[in-house]
Amino acid sequence: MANFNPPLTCQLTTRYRLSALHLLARPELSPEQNAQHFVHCGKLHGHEYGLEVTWEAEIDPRSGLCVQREKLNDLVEEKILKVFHKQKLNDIVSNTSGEFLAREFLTRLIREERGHSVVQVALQETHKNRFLCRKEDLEK
Amino acid sequence: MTSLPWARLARRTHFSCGHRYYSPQMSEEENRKTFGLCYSEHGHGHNYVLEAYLLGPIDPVTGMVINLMQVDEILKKVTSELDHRHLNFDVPAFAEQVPTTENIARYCYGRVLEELNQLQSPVQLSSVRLYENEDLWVDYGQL
Repeated sequence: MANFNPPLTCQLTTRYRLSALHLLARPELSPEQNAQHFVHCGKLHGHEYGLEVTWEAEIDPRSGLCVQREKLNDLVEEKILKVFHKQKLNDIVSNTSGEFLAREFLTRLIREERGHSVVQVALQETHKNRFLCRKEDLEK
Repeated sequence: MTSLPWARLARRTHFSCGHRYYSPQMSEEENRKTFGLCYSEHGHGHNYVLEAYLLGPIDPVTGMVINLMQVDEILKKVTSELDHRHLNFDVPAFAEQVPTTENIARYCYGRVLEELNQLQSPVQLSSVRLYENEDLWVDYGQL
């Protein structure tokens, strides 16, 4: 059997907080259908989301960093927090489910850093649920 | 002969130490620009949390991949080399490289691997996760 050793990888994850309003409702559905699908999530409410952004890169031999913290913080601030923090999410995106938001956030972060290096977003909506989107998921 | 089922597990420990983000290869200006607040005269400290992620076949007698006491011994040995020290001055591995979270995670991965290999067990180390605090962590290994 071949001795297969996958390469060693370094990923740095930083957690941010994002407080926002939303409700789950689809405009094409009737009020009854929306109520059936989304129950109490169909009422306007808010969360303090935990946003975990994962960056993958080799460790720079001079600095010992795979990413400068300020660079990652600035990217998330510019692309996500400035746009979504303290806002009503439904005014910005068409679907505000955790699944969709994780995908949306990763897409916005990857666009900025084409070719590398944000590889995953995890969005914690409450202490009971957490949504993950990996870079490869965007192809599906 | 039927192959044994495999499983993955993680074990956690913690240690506290001081460090300073400073590279002698950089000018003061570049150090300041690269490391921001982490570049200061004396440095600062963290309560690190280290998790080791292991995988291997489940022993048919014990039902375990590895006895957690053995994992604890390894983690204790590795972290005792770092615990309550100033990494830049007290740990030879960081005399030449900056003790960033990335480099400490890589160091821990290498040391846990060395110790695990001494056991001559089929258990493998897949990766380690090192939390600098609850809002910043590094995964290093086969991810």
